[in-house]
Amino acid sequence: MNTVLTVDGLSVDFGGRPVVHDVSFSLAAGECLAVVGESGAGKSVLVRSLLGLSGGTVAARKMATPREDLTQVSERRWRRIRGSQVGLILQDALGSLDPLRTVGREIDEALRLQTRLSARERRERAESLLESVGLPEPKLRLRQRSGQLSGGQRQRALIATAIAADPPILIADEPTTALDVSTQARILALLQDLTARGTGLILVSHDLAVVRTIADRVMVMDGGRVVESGFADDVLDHPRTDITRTLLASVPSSKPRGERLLSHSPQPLPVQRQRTAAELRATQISVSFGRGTRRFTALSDVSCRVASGRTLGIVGESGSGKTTLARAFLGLAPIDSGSVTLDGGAWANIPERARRARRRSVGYVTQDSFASFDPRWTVGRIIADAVGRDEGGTAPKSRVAELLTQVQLDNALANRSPATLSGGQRQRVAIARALAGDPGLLVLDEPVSALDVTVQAQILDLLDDLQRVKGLGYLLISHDMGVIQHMSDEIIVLRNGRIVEQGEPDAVLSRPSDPYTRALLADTPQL
Amino acid sequence: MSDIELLTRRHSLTASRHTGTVLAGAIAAVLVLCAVAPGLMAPADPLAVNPHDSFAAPSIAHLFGTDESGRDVLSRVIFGARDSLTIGAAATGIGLIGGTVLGIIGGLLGRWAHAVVGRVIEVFFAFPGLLLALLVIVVAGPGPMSVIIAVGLSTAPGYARIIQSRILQVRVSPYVEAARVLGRTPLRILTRTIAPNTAAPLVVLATLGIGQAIVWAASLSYLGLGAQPPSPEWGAMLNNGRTYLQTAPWMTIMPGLVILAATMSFTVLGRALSRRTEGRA
Repeated sequence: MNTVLTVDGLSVDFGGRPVVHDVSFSLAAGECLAVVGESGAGKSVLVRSLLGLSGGTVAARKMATPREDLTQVSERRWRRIRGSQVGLILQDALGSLDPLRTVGREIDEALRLQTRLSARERRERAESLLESVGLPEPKLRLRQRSGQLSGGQRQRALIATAIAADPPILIADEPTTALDVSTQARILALLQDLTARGTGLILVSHDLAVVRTIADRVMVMDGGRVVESGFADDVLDHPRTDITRTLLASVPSSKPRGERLLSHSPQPLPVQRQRTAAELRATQISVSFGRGTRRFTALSDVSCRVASGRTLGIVGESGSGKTTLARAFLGLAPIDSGSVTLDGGAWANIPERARRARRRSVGYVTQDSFASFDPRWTVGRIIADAVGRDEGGTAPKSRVAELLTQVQLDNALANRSPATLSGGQRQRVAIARALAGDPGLLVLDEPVSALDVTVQAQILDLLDDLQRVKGLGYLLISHDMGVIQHMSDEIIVLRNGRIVEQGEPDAVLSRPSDPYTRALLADTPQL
Repeated sequence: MSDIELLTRRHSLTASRHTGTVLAGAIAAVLVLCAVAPGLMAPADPLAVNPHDSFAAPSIAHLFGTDESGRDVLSRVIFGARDSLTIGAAATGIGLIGGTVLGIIGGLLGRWAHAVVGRVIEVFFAFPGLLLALLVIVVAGPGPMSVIIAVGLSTAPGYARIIQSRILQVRVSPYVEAARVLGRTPLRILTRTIAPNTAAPLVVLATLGIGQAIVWAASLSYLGLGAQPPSPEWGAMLNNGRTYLQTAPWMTIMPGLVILAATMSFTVLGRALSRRTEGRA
């Protein structure tokens, strides 16, 4: 096979702080090399240095394509190399595409910089590019801007700009992380297509299931070094290092319900608080937004129940009504018909005043917990505020410490601002706050989807432990079938606001009755 | 302001930015001291006429020189600080209060109030600020009080718009929703969450606004619409020195430099404050 890229002894440091250390690999035409590791392992810096975009000091014994030595390249020359020899696809397509420019102009610019085609040839090429990345109606898409496209369409448009000049090397940095499974499956198929046509692909990902789907070889990084590399099947089936084993164990679908993902996570203190059984029940609820012709039905005729000690998992693609269901359960979204009851008493469509006193029995954790913290408050204040004054007996300060301990956070964090915490720590603070009122139920809206797999596994383990110790009931929303499968006692598959499948995980996963569920399962990458 | 920016860029990085902030703080502190206790700071009586000593150039005896009546310019500038700073601060206060009232009405009382306040703000915006201030003075008659009201009223719409949009933004924020889910009453959410998060940027705005208000107040006094002679107000001093610009330039330059220093120091302080709050917001 033709080698399209050789790297030997590549190191990158930022002001003396090494971030990538002595990395060597080669990439053949038509091959997919996956770079995996936790965040901070140096993956992104490594691949960016192949484009002259690392921002640090790059040193290498060798870094070359068959045509060019990449260690001695001026910034001017890099601009020619980017796109024509090495293409880049980023996770955040919305941020990578100019919102004011049409897709056509984005692609045209890439072509104009990298090829000698005439304006007409460029237009034709742009059209065929969009067609080849599977965007329907390419003529229309060329005139649209990134805001008018869906997430998956944007990612395709971005891929089209990256491959416009047909670079022999393509770098994809977490290309599907922000997408739901069905879109992810289509993008992965597209990337496989490109490698089949001879492009060398470097895929950066923390999701080993995705890696398993398309990678030929895997390189595991930790602390800027390559700790393990080899053929994908070898590395994933017979991991030789703890790093790889942890990454593998973190994949939620790898373990059944009730089993910890990471064996070494600390056990929580067995803090027992007696609480009577709690139950939220929705009966045939419908929710819609807007009026007249712009009326949009977010949920129709949905019935389900969340009860102590059990997890109801809701899965579905974006726009399927998952969050609306959560908001209806929280008494935040008024419902058009049907009823929501909390412990048998009316909960939806009653005055907020009547709900307020009972709000403490339902906690809420969102995906972006950072946004849900008052930006001026410290961690301690956020939790103390949630504990409130009517806490008989225990003084708030010791209660805050107790809550922090329950979510396995150091008490010293109480004086810090959430801005200085990591994503996983913020999520723990959000859980501590949700637990402050000693609720019987928690509504968890995509609680782990913004996190790395290993951090995700830690949070899932924590939620699992808390459920066992406190007998909590969870309404867990996720677009990730693996998370739902690992956590749930009952699964609901939502599509366009309707329940298309409802039942025990075993039944839903092994004998899905609805075609949509089958498609969803087929699209979920398996380890 | 841009000079400071250039300077900081040349020295590069935070160290010199910090020095700039400290310097600005020192200047502002001295000015405030002058305003509070001019008698302690000034070497002479600002109103003491001494015909033998008129038009003296800056020297050890008179650091800023003397004016046509032999009055010490430095002492006049120091005594003028009280008027100028009071006018600047009071005008900003009026602007903030007016802006806050309008902003709260527009931000909290629903769609109708929002629309009405929005239109009112736009009408005010249609006039250049200084023109609006002139209009107020024409109606109220010249004098320091009129200047305060005039500058205050013409800055209020700007504050109102910022406060209103901030309230709207905070009101729908996830942290306000989180407070609702915790079962907080609307009053508590308003006082504990919305108000402080709206007020924090106001402190920054106010500090920046004082610098601007001082310049406006000086402009109006320069036009003879503010403090009246012989009261040692900075704008009025500029106007007074204008006649002798050829022979005694210090009469204009010295108060001018002080106005510049005052405005710059408050602006630099405001920007330093905003940098600090940006990190958290």
